[in-house]
Amino acid sequence: MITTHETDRIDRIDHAHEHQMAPVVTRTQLVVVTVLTVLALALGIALPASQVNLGLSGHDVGGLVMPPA
Amino acid sequence: MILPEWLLWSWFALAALSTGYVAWDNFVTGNPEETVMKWGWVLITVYMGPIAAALYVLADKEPRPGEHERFIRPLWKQGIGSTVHCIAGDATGIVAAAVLTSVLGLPMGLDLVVEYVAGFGVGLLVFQALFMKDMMGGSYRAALRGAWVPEWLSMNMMAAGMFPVMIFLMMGRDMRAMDPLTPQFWAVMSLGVTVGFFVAYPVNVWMVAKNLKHGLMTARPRPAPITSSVPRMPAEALS
Repeated sequence: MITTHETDRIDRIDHAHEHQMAPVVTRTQLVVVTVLTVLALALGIALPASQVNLGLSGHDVGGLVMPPA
Repeated sequence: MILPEWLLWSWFALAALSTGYVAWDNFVTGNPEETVMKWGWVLITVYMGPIAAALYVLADKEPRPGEHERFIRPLWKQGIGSTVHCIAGDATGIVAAAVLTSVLGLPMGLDLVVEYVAGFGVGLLVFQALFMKDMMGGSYRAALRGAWVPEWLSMNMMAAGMFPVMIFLMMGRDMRAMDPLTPQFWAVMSLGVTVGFFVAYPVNVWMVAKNLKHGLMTARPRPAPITSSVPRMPAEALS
């Protein structure tokens, strides 16, 4: 006899089976995409950081709208 | 230009309504989606408001009973699901860290580092590995091993979109937005998550197409096993 608990377990295993998948990507493709994402992140921080002072915190400005000159 | 506060409050009201609708549709009406994705949609709608609600209706809400499996199949929808799953965890980590670093008075540069680590940590350790371990064989360690690269790529793109928004709007426009007690802070977070979502979307589509990540799923309650209370007909009655 199959208990409710066992049925649940079987359902979960079946479910896991449905979602398991084998990646179809080469190492080179993965490396290229990784490098692109790291570059995007670096640019996304470096470009705006060159325009503003990232050394300031909210406490430094005490409710001002714009940072002090 | 500094946006008037009534506009920010209007946006928050829309976000609250949208979140209520998405939560109701997932948990009360019972859209046949995996629980982790239901929570992902709710969280993402808190951050992105009506934009997320619109994406939910267009990509994941079952149009008619029994059609969810076919409805969610297109790659662009699977990419939306993958991005929702990623951003829900990342954004939660980033926003929580932003509140903490603001209270501690950390400078913006250090703030970004803490937020990146927190976003990646919550995304990987909770949303990817903990909530998905049953679908990745049942082991937390195996789930971590399988999820860290996709999570990292997606997090990089999310931060590449969100951080410039935060830096320019907080440091270059209105520094009151660094204080979580102001509506400006939450408006910047909302806009940052939204931009991060769309910047992270292409890499998520690619990862789904390459089977590196899952997208949307269908989870229907299994029919109860038939325990036949009807007496069996004798074989001779059928002949």
